[in-house]
Amino acid sequence: MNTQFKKGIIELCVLSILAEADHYGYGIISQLSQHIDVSENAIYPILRRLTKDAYFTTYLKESPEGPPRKYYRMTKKGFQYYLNLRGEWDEFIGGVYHIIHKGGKNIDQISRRFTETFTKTKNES
Amino acid sequence: MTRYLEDLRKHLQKQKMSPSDIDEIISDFTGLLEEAIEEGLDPKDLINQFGDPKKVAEELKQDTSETPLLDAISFQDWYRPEEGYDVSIHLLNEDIEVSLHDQPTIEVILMSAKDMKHYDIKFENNKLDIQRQKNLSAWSFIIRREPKVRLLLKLPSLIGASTFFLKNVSGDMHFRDVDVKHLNIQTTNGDFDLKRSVLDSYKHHSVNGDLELTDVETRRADVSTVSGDIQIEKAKITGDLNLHTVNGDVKLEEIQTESLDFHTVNGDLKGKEVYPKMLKFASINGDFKLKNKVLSDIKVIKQSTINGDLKISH
Repeated sequence: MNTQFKKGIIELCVLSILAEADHYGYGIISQLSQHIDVSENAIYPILRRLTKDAYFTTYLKESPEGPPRKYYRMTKKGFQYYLNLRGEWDEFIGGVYHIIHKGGKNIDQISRRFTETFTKTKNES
Repeated sequence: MTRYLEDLRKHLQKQKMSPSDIDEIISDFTGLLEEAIEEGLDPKDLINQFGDPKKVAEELKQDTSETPLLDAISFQDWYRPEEGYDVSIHLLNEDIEVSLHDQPTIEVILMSAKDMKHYDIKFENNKLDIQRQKNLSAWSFIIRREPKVRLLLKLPSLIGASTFFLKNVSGDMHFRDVDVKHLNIQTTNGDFDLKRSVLDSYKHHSVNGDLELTDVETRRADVSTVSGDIQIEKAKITGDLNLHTVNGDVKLEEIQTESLDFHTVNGDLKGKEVYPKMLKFASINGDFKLKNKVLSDIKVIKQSTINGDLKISH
């Protein structure tokens, strides 16, 4: 997938996670990496940039296991930014699904339909 | 772990990042890697979870060297309206400033817009129309870090507008001294303020955006918000003032109005020097409290609340 596009999606995911609750850095990374391959698009640079843009603030909190951990917290500005991005995303992905679902709701359905039309046109010619 | 950090430092230096940035990043990464290993991450998987040090360094460099566009004028034009012209604006996240000037023209300035293709600006049949094309907005999701676009609108001081309709999703809106008969604002998150203006009717709907009116005269005002707060100071309303909120609070000061209707779920209304002739109040938990110096005849036409209080004190 286009890296710029994927970067945008990962940014949206980071914002979603922090819109819900405060998290420490690795907590965010491990939550994301359970669902998305993050080796291509590192998460830390996104966290750092969004913190610099004042969308997040950070604070230290004692950890039972070791040294204090740096926690990220979403600011009001960050939440507004998230809402905008989320709105754009919903609108965009809604449009995409509208188009791609026309051809079938899943790969099986799409393949079956394609094979049908393909054999039909092949027989006709 | 040490190896990863050493590699990262080396690549950050190669990218010519400042020593203070490098120290900060390395210290953040030390924390991150420690957290990861405490949680049982195999050190072999560091690159999978955190990215290749070379790529991470490149990305960090890219983000710091990106300088946002300067506050440059992207578009500027003037139009000659006649008395009773209309304005219709439909935007997304732009900040909007509306004020008056001594020219007989409407001046439209757009600042810091990256691509004017996204905007449609025209003046036809005595109507100014400004729109952001909707289908393109989806892609701004990918082209992030756009600087904030500002729309500056200067209206002629001697020519009054008939209707002014503004729909904006998240940009803030500032109106000063405007001479408009019917003002209609719709926003999701944008904050709005209006100062020193004479209107005939004012309608406002917002979800989270706050609104602030100061020094306003109008025949009627209908304001509804979900969680946005409402603040009105020095207003003269010859007809009805209708305020509806779900969670938004209301603060009023120095208000004269024929009737005041406050309808809320959880929002509170606090007023000082508020003199309505008639009053309607409906809430679930919200309170209604007025504190006036002068005793005036306030007729309570309707009052229904579950947990809220209605209190008028002198």
